[in-house]
Formats: sequence, structure tokens, C-alpha cells
Amino acid sequence: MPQALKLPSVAGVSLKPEYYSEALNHAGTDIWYEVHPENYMVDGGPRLAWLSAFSDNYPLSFHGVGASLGGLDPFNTQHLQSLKHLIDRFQPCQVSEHATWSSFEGQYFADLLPLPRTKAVQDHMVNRIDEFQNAIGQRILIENPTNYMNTQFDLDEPDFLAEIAARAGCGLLLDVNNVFISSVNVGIDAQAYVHALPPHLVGEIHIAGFDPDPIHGEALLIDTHSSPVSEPVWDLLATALAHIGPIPVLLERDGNIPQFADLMKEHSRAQNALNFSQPRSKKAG
Amino acid sequence: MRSYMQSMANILNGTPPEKITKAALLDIDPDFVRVYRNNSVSAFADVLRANYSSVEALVGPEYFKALTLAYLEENPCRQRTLVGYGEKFPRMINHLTSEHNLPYLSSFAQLDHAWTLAHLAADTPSLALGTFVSSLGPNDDLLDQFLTPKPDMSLIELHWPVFDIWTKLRDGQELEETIQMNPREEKILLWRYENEVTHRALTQAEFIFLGTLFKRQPLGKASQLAQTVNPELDINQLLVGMINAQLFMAPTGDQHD
Repeated sequence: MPQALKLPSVAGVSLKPEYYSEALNHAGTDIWYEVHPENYMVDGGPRLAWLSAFSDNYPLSFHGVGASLGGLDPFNTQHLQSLKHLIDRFQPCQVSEHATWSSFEGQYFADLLPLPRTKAVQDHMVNRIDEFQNAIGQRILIENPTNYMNTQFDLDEPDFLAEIAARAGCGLLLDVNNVFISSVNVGIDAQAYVHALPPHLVGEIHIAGFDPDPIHGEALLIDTHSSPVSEPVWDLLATALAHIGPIPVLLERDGNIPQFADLMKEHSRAQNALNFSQPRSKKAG
Repeated sequence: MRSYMQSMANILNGTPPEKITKAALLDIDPDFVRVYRNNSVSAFADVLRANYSSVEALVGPEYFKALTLAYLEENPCRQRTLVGYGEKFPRMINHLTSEHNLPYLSSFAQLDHAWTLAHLAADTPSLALGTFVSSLGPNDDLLDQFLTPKPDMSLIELHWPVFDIWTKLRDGQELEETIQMNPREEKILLWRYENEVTHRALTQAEFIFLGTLFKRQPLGKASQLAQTVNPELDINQLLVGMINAQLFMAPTGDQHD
């Protein structure tokens, strides 16, 4: 499976229309930008013009949300074609998706729903990822889900995902915010989760903010991406970088979008964490 | 896995989690599993709010959320990109007029939707005035020429005079007065100029002129019909203005303006 040009092992930021102009003029080599390709599956207009300008100046990552990798429906042909078209046009350094499902019997739910973690579902995911990678002509990374409840499981999530990745020939995208949220919501051990992942399979890390549920408070955390990254998630990022080594880290922000300058303060903190992380080979030696 | 997904789909479509048997899902806490339903609804609501911002500004977030739920129930989403989602929203708002008692509301929704269509339409080179003039041969009659509107252009006929208020709302201005209006027709043009959506009200003659070109009729026919409602209309001036406003497609192979 072809591998795109690699993302640099620096911190990236979700690209949002609210700060297109400032982000384009950032003029640094210390950043890359991530977009949801579904937001650019349009015929034309300013969105594509902006994306074109960014692809001329910065490394890009496509982080898909619409494939429903774990779903039972056949892949949506129009979605696959649009994604392939965008990949061919903008040549992102990385393409990733979610180890979740989001459609059933043709209906799309616009949410990333958890999969039962069984051997049968593993087999299903391996086949689906293989089909998806062949369709878009590129190796992908798959992201661990946010859990608000336990689904049926025979396997712990890191083992479940690592075996899928190894068999499907894809990589893993470790969202440490999702891990932390799941540790609170369903009681997994976040540190053990990170250490259980084979470092060589992890190609990218995500950090983001969460919010407490309006009713249950801190007992139920919601993956809103609407707040600054919390201290426990910064700690988990440090754990992940120590375990995996320096790899691209994405700062995600989808709501309550701050000023670009404020976002860059968080970006700097992520970059600082990366600067002090040691390559795996050095650690091994 | 199918029974699990079916159960989750039912919850996402509004079935109370308490009604789902534990055989399909392990460890269901109804309050926790509702998060998935809330997240899904929020995703669609956010898109509708963005695509129909003037409607939300008029009815407020609570009623807009009720409209969102009604729309989702009537129109389960089948597409994987939410860009442009909600194309039937203006029609649903119109059907619900007896409920919200805002007969002009669907006119705002129509304009919001046209704005989105213009924003997302395909990029096509604009016809430049110089290109158009130089394309005419010595024996060509201007009135026999055909001009093709660009795909980002929309002609909207409204039954309520909402355009000025809509423009204010789209600019983020707050309305100082309660809306009171009587039915009156308005003709509105939306299109992209220099890749930004713009809009203006049209006279009846201008609307007929452009509408005729939309129907792939020649300039002569469009001029004739427009001048039936305004015999004084200066067609040359109108045409130059419209070409300079980047309303028409360049013929294939011509340079972009």
C-alpha cells in the first residue's frame, strides 16, 4: 500500500475557517494542519480555494469522519470517490479515520459509535480497512474511540486495535483525550492503555479538550473539543511520547474557537512536549 | 453485531434507551448512552444552524432545536458530508407555517439556502467583457447571442419583502424592531463575486432578463421580454453591468477574467 509523504514530527492544529487567514500567514515550518475531508467535498468555492492555498504552503492531514469503517453497510461510493479525488488533488501527508461506525442501513448518524470488541469484529474491521485503503490508494491510521458506555468485549481496546492494525497494514492514531475520557466514563486504566500499544504502529497522537456532562458532571466527560486541553491529558501526552517517541501531535479544536494566537499557545506547549521526547531507537539503545 | 447496531440506531433515532433490551448492548446506563443520541443531534443541529443562521436568529435557539428534530425525523441523513445539509428545510418551514405563525419565515430560509448553494457551487471561469466583445464577428448580431449563467448564480422569487432584514441578520446585526410586514413580491439575485457570495434585489425587468437567459434563450428574447415591463430599460448598460459582475460563464477555452 503506498505511503504518502510523512507528516513532520511537530505539532499540528485543526484548520478552521475562523482563522484561515492567520493560519495561512503563520509562516512557520513548525506546524501542519488537519482537516476533515468531508467539509471539503464540495463542487467549488472559497473552501477549496483556501485548502489549495494551505496545501501549497503546509503539510496537510486528512482526518475522515464519514467512512463508517466498522459499519455493515457497503462503503458509500460517492464518499469514497470524493475522498479519493481530494487526496489526488491535495496530496495530504496522512489520511486517518476512526475505528467506529456511523451509518446503518443507509442512514448516517454523524457520530462516531463504538464497536463491540470481539474476534469477529476484528476480522470484519481488517477486511473493511483493506477495502478502504485499496479504494483510496493509501495506507491510513485508525483512531481509538471515545467511550461513553461499555460495549460487548472479549478484548481490551489496545489489543483489539493493535491486532487490527497489524493485520490490515494500517497504523494507529492515538487520541489521548479519548483515552482519558474513556478512563473516567468506563473505568479503563489510561496509563496502561497507552503502554499496551505497540509504539511502531502509532503514527500520530491527538490532544483536545472535553467538557463535563451537564447532568452527571465530572462522572461523565463529553468529547467536545470545545475547551483547552486539560492537565491530565497533557500528562497522558507526555506518557505517550515517552512510550512511542516523537511523532506528529495534533491539537484539535472544534468548538468555542479561540483567537488563533491563543490556540498557538497550546500548540507551543504541545511542540515543547515533542521537543523533549526521545526517539525510540535512542531509548532502546 | 447487527442487533447491536440496530439497537443503537433506534436510540439515535429517538427510542428511549430504557426500551432497548440488555441482550443487544452490554452495560447500558440509559443516561450515558443518551450521549450518543445528543452528539448525533448536535452535529446535525450545528450544521442547520450554520446553514440557516437567519432562521435561527428569528425563532431563537429553542424553537430552532425543535425544527431540527422535526427535520431529522422527516429526513434521515443519507449523505456522508454535512456541507449543504438541509436542502428541504425551507419547504418544511413553509409546511409548518400554521404552527409557528411566521408566514415569512420560509422566505428567510430560501435566502439562506441560496447563499449556501452560491458558496459551494462549482468554480467556473467568468466571461470577461473584452472576451465577449471580441468574440462577436462583423456579421454577428448581439441579440442572437447566448450567455450562460454561472452555477453559483441563483434567482429567488420571494412572496414576502424580507431581503433587507435578511441582509442585516446575515451581517450579524440585531433587529431592533418586531417584524411586521405584508406580503409583497421580491426578486433577489445571489452569486459569487471574486469567490465571495454577494446579493442584490432585482427589478422586475432585470429578473425577467436574467430568468430568460437562465432558460437558454438568446439576448434578443431576454431584452424583448424585459422591455415589456420596462420599455426604458437600457439593455446595453444592464448587460455590461452583469458581465462585469461575473454572472456569466466564459466560453470553453477562454481565459478567466
